[in-house]
Amino acid sequence: MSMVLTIYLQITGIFILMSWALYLPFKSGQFYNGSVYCMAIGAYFSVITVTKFGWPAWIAIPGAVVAAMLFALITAPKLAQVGGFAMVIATIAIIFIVQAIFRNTKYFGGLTGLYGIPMIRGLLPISYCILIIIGIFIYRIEHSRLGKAMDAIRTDKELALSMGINPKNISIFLQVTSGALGGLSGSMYAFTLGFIRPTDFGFTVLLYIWTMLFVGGHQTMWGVVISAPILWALTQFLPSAIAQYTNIIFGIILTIILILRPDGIITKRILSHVVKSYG
Amino acid sequence: MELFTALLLNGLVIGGIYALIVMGFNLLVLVTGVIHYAYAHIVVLSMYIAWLVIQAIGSLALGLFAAFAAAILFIVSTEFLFRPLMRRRAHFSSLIVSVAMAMVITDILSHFINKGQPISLPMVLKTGWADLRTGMISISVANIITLIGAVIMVSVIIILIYNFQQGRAFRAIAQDLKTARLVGIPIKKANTTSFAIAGLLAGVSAVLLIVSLGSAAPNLGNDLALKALAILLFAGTGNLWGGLIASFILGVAESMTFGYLPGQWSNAIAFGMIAVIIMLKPQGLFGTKV
Repeated sequence: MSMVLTIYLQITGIFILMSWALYLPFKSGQFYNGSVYCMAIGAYFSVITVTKFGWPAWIAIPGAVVAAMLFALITAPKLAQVGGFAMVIATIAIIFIVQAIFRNTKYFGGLTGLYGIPMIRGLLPISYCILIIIGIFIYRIEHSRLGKAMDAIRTDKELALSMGINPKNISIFLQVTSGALGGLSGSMYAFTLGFIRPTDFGFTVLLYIWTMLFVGGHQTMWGVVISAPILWALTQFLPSAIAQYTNIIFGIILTIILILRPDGIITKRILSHVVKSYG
Repeated sequence: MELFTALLLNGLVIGGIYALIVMGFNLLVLVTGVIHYAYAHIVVLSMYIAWLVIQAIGSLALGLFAAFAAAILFIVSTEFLFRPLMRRRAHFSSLIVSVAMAMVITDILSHFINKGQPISLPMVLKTGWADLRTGMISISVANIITLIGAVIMVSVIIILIYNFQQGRAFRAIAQDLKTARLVGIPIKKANTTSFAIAGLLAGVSAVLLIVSLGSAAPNLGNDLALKALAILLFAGTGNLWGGLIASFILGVAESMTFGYLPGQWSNAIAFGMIAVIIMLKPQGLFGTKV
């Protein structure tokens, strides 16, 4: 399999994970961008532990996930309390802060980032196995009592409270899970490319996962599975004359979808039609 | 002591600039429910347009006029995009759409104008005649004009809101949309008018920024927009006076950190402070009106 195709599939997988990380809290009505800075933390953690401390990859990757989860846990209780709009802005601000910290600290490589991460052989099948496992995990959450609780919170928080659902704890759980997925993505990203820069984990990733989630469909988990490969292929395989307009194209696509078809391409209705006709 | 005063004055000027942008922002959020993240980006875009005009024609006055007109034009044209979202009062969607717009603008500025390099505008008023100097402290005419301009614009808006019928309509809509509709206040007209006023404010901001900052970079839009949004939350969404005071607080804080700590950290500290306040007191320091 050619190098280009391998990296394409690998990064598509990473974007699906990141979009799922955005999707989970959004299912309960909260817009949590923490997956982006957890991606940075996971990536830097993996690189530092592998290159400077000599950890083997199979310890570094789970370690990165744990580190990201701990970081998400710091802000989770407060963010769970404030909700909605403040959460969006606070998480965007934290993305900025984390990026600034990594960019200005010599130990983390500064502006040029870190490089020299050894490649793992057979990373592609491993990552897709992980992707499928996580997909099953998310599917099970959606169709469990927790999933119903999330829908309830999104629909009417006060009513959910009166039925004995604890929105704060659920929010904390979802934020930490989102952070864990972010850390995993960051770690895999580091091992795929072999080098990381602080600018990799900022607004570009944010725009990409927003576009993938909202274009694909934010009501179900399958939307991003369709939109991520297509949109990422757009960035990678367009002729170079158009490729420099990538961010602009994504911005325009996102704007058009939000105005004309705000539910995205794969909506709950379409999903239930498909299930009924084939299931 | 001199350094402190110099930094304080500098901070007040920066705060004045933030105050202008936050004013337009606040007005839009208050009346239309649209969180227009790209507002600051449009101001920066207008500055770039002024630069293009100055490059082509060479007249500063024409450039300033072009910036003013461009800002109004752009803001009013984005109103059209937001209409379906305003009807639904879809706050999240409007934020996402405006962030997308902002990234499009930043991308255009980074790639197609001046090859992404920062631009510098002729600073006729910046140094030279009529500077006030005592020791280390120097305020240029431009800074004074900016500060006065900011205060005047803010006062005009506040007078408008409390004394004119359209302003009363704005306050009514901000208080309770459904009741406002019930008593017959024309919502669509109010939306369009507030976009027009915000456009005017953007035009004035662009002109004052050109005169006082003298340069612009593609990142300036993001910088200003995030700070404006953060000030909004910090002070309480929709609180006009609170936004004003908070802008000055942030301006002074930023100036102080810039003076006493290595430059790269001042942004991060400003954001850190804001993130902490947002988490501790989500209604903002002065309480929301929305």
